[in-house]
Amino acid sequence: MSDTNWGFSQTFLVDFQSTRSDLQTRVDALKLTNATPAQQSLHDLTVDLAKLGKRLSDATGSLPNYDQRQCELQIKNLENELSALRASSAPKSKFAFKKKKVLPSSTAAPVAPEPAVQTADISALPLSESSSHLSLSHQSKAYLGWSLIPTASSAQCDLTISNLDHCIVNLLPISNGTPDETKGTNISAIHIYDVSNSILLLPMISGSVLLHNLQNSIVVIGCHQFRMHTSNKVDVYIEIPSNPIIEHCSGIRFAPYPAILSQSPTKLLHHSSTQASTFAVQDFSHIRETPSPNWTTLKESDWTTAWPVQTTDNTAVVDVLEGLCPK
Amino acid sequence: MGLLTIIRKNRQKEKEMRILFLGLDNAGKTTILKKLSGEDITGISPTLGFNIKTFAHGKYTLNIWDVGGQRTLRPYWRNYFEQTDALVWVVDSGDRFRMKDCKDELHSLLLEDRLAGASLLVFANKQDLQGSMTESEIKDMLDLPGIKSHNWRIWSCSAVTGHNLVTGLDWVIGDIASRLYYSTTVQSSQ
Repeated sequence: MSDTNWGFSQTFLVDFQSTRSDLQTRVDALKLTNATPAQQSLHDLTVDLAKLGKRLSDATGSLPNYDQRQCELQIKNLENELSALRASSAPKSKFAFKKKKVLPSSTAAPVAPEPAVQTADISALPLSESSSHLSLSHQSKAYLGWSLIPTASSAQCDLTISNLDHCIVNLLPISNGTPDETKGTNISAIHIYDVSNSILLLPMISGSVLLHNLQNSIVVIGCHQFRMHTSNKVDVYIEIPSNPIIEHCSGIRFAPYPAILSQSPTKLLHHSSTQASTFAVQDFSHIRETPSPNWTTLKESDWTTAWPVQTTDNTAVVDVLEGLCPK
Repeated sequence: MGLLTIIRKNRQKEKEMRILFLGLDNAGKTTILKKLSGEDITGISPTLGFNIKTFAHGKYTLNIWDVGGQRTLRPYWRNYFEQTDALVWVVDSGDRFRMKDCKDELHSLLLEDRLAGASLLVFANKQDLQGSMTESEIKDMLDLPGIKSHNWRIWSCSAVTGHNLVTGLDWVIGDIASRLYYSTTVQSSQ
């Protein structure tokens, strides 16, 4: 390292430390006051901290690696303390990013956009365009079939299945023994979220399926891509030409799409459903060499065979689910 | 010789462009890329990590980086920002449900220092699905007219049929070229 760099890094570090300790004092002072800290002082602190971060990232390359890392760590700590303060000061209901904590930036921390502006923008958006969007939601202890879904136009559309508990959903293209090819072929993607203790019998679709928050359920589906998030104890019977993925899941068991349910002459996907039950499931929360502990292949002897394809009354539904759902 | 001249001369020799493909999961980023390079698109799995494709397009060499859009991967997007000439934001036009998510992610990217100046191409993908949102609907829902920091353009396209993929790419290349290789484009037009 050249002398000029050395000189620079010395001055920079001294300067950096003094600014940092100043910020630290201000943060501590805010913490000590029992009353909720004023928004203005929080905002000032955020801006000053971002400036410091910017200066640090500008100095990248002129500082020894060790010092750089130390400085980054200190900034990160300050950021964490600040965000904790902000959380305690802002009323919960006001505005919160649902997103998980963003990884701390190694470079300049962008100042968070003004919440007020954000919310205004969102409300201006036409969010609920339901014209080509089917949905099945907020049901419990019921047997749900195609009859509950408004007859779709010929246009392709998304299907959303949400907030179900103790339900059997049967959207197979077979209704009471007679194949009905028209059902299901116009679904482009299926979103499923917040479903517990239920069985979902779904047709083969050509698009993707996205699942969030499923518990103790069984999903039967044929699709192009499969993404499952934050779920546990779910058995998945699947026909898929690509690799299914899971993220933040546990206790997921995979098995092939049951032949008995795919008897209809609707177009089968790219390869036979009698494939060996080898699944190359990718677990995005377990990116290692070792096998993921979050999913297994369901043994053939454990495959469900008594599929509840016949409509049953609501009391029987609970009994059926009791016997089939993973616990 | 001024610094700017040296930089331009240097870039002329290379004629390389670095293009970053981002978007929510299930938008079709990898499918677009595979379609562009003429590969099979039937068995594409959700991207774990990233793909790089290099191909010659006209007189330029394109380095295209396609990074997975799963939520767990999004924090890593920032690792790919350096030296990016253009950002291609891929949108699933059938996914009305997550348009707000899509808009938020895009706008937070545009605040990034390291993407400042990059051209922005928005691909309204999956137009082959009936009932998908139109280009102008998506433009409004993503608040594209509100973007002042980047040169942007939206194209409807379909990765399955290949519709508009090359057209969109041509636009983005032209936009980068007019910025980076200003001298050459001026010369060639004379």
